[in-house]
Amino acid sequence: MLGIYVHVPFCVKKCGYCDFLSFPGMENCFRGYVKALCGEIESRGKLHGTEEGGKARVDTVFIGGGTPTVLPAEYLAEILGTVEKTFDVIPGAEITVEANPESATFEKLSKLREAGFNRLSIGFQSLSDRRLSAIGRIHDSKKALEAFAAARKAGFDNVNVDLIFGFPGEPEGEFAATLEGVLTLKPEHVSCYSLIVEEGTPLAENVRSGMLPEPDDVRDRADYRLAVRRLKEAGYVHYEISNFALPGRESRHNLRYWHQREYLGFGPGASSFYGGRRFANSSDVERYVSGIFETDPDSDETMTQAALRDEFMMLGFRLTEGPDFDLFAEKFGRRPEDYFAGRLEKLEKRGLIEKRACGGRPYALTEKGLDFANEVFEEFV
Amino acid sequence: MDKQKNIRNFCIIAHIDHGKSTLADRILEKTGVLTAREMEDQVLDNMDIERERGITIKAQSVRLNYKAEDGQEYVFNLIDTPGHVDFNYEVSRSLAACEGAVLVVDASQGVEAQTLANVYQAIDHDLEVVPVINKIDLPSARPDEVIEEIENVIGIPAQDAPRVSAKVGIGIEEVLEAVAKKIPAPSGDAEGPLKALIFDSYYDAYKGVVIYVRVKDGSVSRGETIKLMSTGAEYQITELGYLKPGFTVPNDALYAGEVGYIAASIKNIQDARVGDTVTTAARPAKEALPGYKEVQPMVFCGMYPVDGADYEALRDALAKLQLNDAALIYEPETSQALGFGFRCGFLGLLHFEIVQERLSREYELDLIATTPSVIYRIHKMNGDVVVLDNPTNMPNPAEIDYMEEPMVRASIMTPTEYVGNIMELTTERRGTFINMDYMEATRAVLTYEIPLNEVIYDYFDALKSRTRGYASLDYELCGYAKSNLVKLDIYLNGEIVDALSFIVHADKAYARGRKIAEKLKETIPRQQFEVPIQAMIGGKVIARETIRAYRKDVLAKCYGGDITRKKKLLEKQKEGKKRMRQFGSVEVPQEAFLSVLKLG
Repeated sequence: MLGIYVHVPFCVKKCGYCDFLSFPGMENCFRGYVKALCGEIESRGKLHGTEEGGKARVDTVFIGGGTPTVLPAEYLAEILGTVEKTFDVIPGAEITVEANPESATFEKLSKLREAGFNRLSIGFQSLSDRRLSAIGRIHDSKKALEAFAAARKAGFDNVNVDLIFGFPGEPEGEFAATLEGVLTLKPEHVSCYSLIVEEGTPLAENVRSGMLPEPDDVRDRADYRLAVRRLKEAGYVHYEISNFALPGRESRHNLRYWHQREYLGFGPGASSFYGGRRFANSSDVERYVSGIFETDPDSDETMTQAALRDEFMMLGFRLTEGPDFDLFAEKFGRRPEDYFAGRLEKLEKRGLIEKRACGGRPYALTEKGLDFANEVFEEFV
Repeated sequence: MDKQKNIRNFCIIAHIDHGKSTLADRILEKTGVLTAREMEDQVLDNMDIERERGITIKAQSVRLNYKAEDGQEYVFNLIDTPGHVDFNYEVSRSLAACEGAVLVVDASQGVEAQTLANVYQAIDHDLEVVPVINKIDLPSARPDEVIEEIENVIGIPAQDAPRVSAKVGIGIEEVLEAVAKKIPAPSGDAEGPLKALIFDSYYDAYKGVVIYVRVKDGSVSRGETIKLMSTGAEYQITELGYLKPGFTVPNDALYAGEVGYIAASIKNIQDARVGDTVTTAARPAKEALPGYKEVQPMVFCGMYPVDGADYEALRDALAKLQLNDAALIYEPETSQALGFGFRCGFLGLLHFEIVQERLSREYELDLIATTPSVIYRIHKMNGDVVVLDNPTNMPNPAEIDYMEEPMVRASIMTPTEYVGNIMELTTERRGTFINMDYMEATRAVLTYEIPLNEVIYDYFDALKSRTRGYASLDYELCGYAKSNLVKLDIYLNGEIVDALSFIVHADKAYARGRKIAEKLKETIPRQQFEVPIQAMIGGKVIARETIRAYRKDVLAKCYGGDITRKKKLLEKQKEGKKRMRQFGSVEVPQEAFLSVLKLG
């Protein structure tokens, strides 16, 4: 079973903290882009059929960006149609599209729902208008709430809301207010990201030059703990470092990444993991639109069994229940204890992970481990 | 027939940057050892570090054939020498193997501090000095004045000195003729018992220690058993021959007057000390050749492997480096902070940097070095005198009557316009003015006594920058002087880091302490808890900084596209941590030590 990721490298305006591959103001490229994208999906899709000539089975599809909803709904429908034509997308598959409030109109969302999308991920980031304008978002909180209502009305019963906390200069209580606002909406899924100041972004430049203060990590951790507590109280499962869901509404597509399952990525810069190999498409959008599909040679990594085992653990520890030892044994023939007993013990001693009652998932991050998860991951790179 | 008659053994001496290595290259080219096309620039500088820094560190030697205007075939042995003040000792080693020296003087810069120092050394070794005026192609060249200067300042005739441009290739022929005509042939006893001087050596994984020798008396053949006179150790020669640039040419024997190499499966590095005399076991010489000036290391610091498991590798590497770097000395020591390592002695800070770089490049060792120190003399109340090269071992201040520090007498040669700058700098460095001489109307020699402690940091760099590169420096140790010194300790999170302790003049302690605390704050990454940095003298805090704690280290996002990228990020972070040392509970990167050391 495969997952499909499709990248839309466009947005209306690039945000100051964003380091994703995305370009504003390329409306005249949209048609050509969708055509190229469908071409790539069809041509690469053929390589993944079964031996008997059948199509590869797919149970999650995710269209992300950028802002996919800058494209007309018809284009997104066409992309999904091409995926469904090329692959065997099984009944009940999770089909997600990302949207930003400014482009998530009722009309567009209805068309998307009709086209077969059954999960919507909306980039709120914050419900503070001051914050939204400070970080260069083009929507306000009203737009965000409207978009959410429109999603419901259009028939989306599986909606995620993305939030970011820890902005430089963010006043105390601001994130708490956003969180409470989101809780009243009762989305099925909430992602709460601690802001990362990514190298090369305008945000990083402003912090370096002193225009903005350094993010305050005491505040950041307080906000994180608040999110964990409040969302749990409201019935959400904290299932990954930054992700919360009502029971059964975890993102199946994203779980695929953390369970080290296979996926194919289409579009410039999109990554794939297939046959023990990680690789990504070249990021050149212009060449891509002209129909040249290339793998970025620097990204291509054929992984050894040992590297795969390490990576499985690293990804697995992102999950609050910890890596799935049974799944590990199924993949690699032996259990993690056979390879990692020493490292697990060391991490346990450092208070970063702890033993759990569950036999299949015996180790998970502690509360401290959630704050210093990189130190756990570093043991497995 | 006298085989020695047509041999010329010579070296080239010069102030740094006067073009010695370029001239050597031209000579190789002219004598057909290499064609211009085959030449890599500066063939004799064959260490990467030498080429990068544009300086010669190791003496190299090479045998050349030259047919002179008189129709005779000559054998030239050219021994290249280093130019930096730190490497004077290498010069002395090369001189002992020669009968003459070509003195290269820059046609625009004229005589410099080291020109003089080198010439006097050459004269001490009874060498015939042949002056050559280089860089005559430069618009600023003033060869006539420089010739005057050589005659007046150094006191050797220079009217017929070849005027050359090594860079462009002008006048090289004349230099070769001058070597053939002016430098005397060797005059050893060809029939006597073997006496050969070891002037360099290196370690070869297949041949063992290979020694470079200058045969003074007698001869030696392959298969003979040699005896190293200082230890009495005996070895059978497996190979001997001549030296060419970058390779060796095996031969059957080496004769009086010749320069060459000997391999004899010498495993014990200590048996083949530079300066020792080689003779034969069958017919040993009665007495050894006079060795040359022992070199005294002046700067000491601890060197520790970042990974404790590399201790043995470090020991081996030091042994191999010492083999062709007689000035490097080392002995084991332990530090509470750094574990097992070595106390090493160097000629100066450049020498130290070179050794550190070679250890890291050639032996791939990751090292931490402690703050460099000179040798102090501590006079205790009870009359004992303690010689201290490691600040950690400083006795309790209550037991100390007074302390002394080593002083150098420094000659600084400079265009007169920079005299003010130099005086200011040197006074800042606690220098005492002795006198000033004018070499000519626009150039002066300043003589100062400066504590060595002040010179070893970045005095030379500071001098260069305040004189736009025009001043030159030479110095020699001139004894000890009483001084008001204190030991400055650095505490991290309340625990002393012995490796960062150093001895400093009381007047400078506050400024240094503050600078170090600030620098450490910059270079030590934030930890999971707050870390106070304190600079203390005898329990009194003189400077304090605090490293804020970090509260999170977590990649909030990791989806399909991020996995490879985030793994690389984590690998980098992990790699960085490997280069850190644990002090109590604080992790300190190697860079922190280096940055403190660079503060000066």
